[in-house]
Amino acid sequence: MELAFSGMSGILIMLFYGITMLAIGVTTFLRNKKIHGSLDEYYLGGRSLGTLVLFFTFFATQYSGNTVIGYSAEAYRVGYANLVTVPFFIMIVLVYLLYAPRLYKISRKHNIVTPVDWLQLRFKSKAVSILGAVIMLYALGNFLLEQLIAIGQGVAGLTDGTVPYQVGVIFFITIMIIYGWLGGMRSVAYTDTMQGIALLVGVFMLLIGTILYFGGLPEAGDYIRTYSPENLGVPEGVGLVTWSNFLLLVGFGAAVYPNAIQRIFSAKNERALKKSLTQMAWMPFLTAGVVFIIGILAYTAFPDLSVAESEQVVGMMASVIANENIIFYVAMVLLFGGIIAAIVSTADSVLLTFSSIISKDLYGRYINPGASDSRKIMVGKILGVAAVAFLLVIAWNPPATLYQVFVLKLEILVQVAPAIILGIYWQRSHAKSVFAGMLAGTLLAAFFTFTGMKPLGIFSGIWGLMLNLAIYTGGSLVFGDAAGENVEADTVEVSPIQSLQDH
Amino acid sequence: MQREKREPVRNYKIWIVFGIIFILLNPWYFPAGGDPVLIYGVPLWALVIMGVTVLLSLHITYVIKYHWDESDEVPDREEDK
Repeated sequence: MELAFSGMSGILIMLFYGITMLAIGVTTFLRNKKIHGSLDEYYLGGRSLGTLVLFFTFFATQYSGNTVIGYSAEAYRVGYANLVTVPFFIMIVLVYLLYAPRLYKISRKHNIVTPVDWLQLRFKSKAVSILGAVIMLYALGNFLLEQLIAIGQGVAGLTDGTVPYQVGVIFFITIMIIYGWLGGMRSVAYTDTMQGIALLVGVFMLLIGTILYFGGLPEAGDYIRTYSPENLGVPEGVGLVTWSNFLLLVGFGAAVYPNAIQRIFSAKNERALKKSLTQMAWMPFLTAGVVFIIGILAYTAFPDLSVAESEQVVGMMASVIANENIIFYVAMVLLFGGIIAAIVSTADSVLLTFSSIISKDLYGRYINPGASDSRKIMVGKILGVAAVAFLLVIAWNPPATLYQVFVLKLEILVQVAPAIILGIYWQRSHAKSVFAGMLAGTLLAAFFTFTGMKPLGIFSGIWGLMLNLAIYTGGSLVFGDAAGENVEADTVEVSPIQSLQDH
Repeated sequence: MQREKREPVRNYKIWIVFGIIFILLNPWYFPAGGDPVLIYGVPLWALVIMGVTVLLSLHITYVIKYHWDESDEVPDREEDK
């Protein structure tokens, strides 16, 4: 995309954000030198995150730079039907209420570090744990890939191609890996706080600029009525099914993002967790809501863009606004720096969680159970970087639109939701049925996604989830033991997690 | 009953309310087709959905505040060190 403020000021803001992130990483490292010998300290920040940092790390993990660029463009294209983005982010918090209070307590009692730890503790089944880990790693890998591509496109746009796509990606990824290595979850959470603030300020300035220079919602309404009146209408038929599917798929899928679950484990106490989740229940109005309005207001500026042009609508608006005066010029530079920072802040938490699952669940549980925590952390770090290197190779040939990649990972990831959530409460849950359900659901979702099939307009992930739940509940009813495992009781022996308690 | 720690999942009434909100969160109850009513440029149905969305956030806030008791069994890690 071509931006009026790209070039030198873009390079400066990138350097500024990059150096700030590094400084946060180094400071965290100097203050917490002992974190590299404990999985708890490295991957969960010593379970000591307070309300503010916890809130921002939830926020930055959930909202990426894509939320701003991709969702505005989508709102521009489909109009008010895309309003669903506001409630679907709130649905995530609703799903947290189903399981977070209990899982938080269990995580404390049993020193759980990753969501796969929980599956292992609950089902004691190698099959369930490994399948869960593979699904999570796959989804995280896709998610990370999407962020890498977005960083490259953002940097190339912001610097008007002076800094090529590849150089931008490598610059930020290197910084991200360095501060992640230095401070683990603490670095990630502290940088998330800085990145979250940058994004929020930028988005609000864009909204103000848009209203000042293009006009508000009434004008936009008139333009939409003239150019694409269908974008004002109520979703009906397939549109309505899509709407409901989004609420369910994003609600359940994003709530069981392994990186989001690890933030529940990282809370200093329940009060901090409760407060930050309450704030998260209101954030969608300020983020997804504002981003949606920006997409709608874009009609007043550019009422008749093609699909390809609409992808760049945020950059086009920012360029016009930046030309108005120096304050908005600076604000738009900050916005685009903030968008890139927000992408980095999503990527860093994905990478950290990716490494933690490799460290703890694959290497630590099956390959070398006797390894020390520092060795497990080192293996996680190295394989994490190897995964990034592999994804970078793919990122040089980015897929056409980001949106489909997003849907694909949720479709797969949502298949671990029944095991994680239902497993907490339903004692009868039968491990083999849980495994069969998860596997069948994943395969069905993948099949429908890859073949592009969408029977009855229902998303492939929801079809998979229905099959998954049917097998899980049916199998458990037939084969399960009514007096089965109850993890909340103090009776459970936790051998794989024992090594942690040595600290 | 009084001594038991409150947890959102244990109270079915909370979930009935969430169920009703979820049903209303899907815009199935507006007349299809025709020219949508605009209020300050925003379709009426979108305003109603936003109203229901606010209800969802309010109910979540209420449930977290009044139906999620903090456990005193779990030590605060900061004091641990």
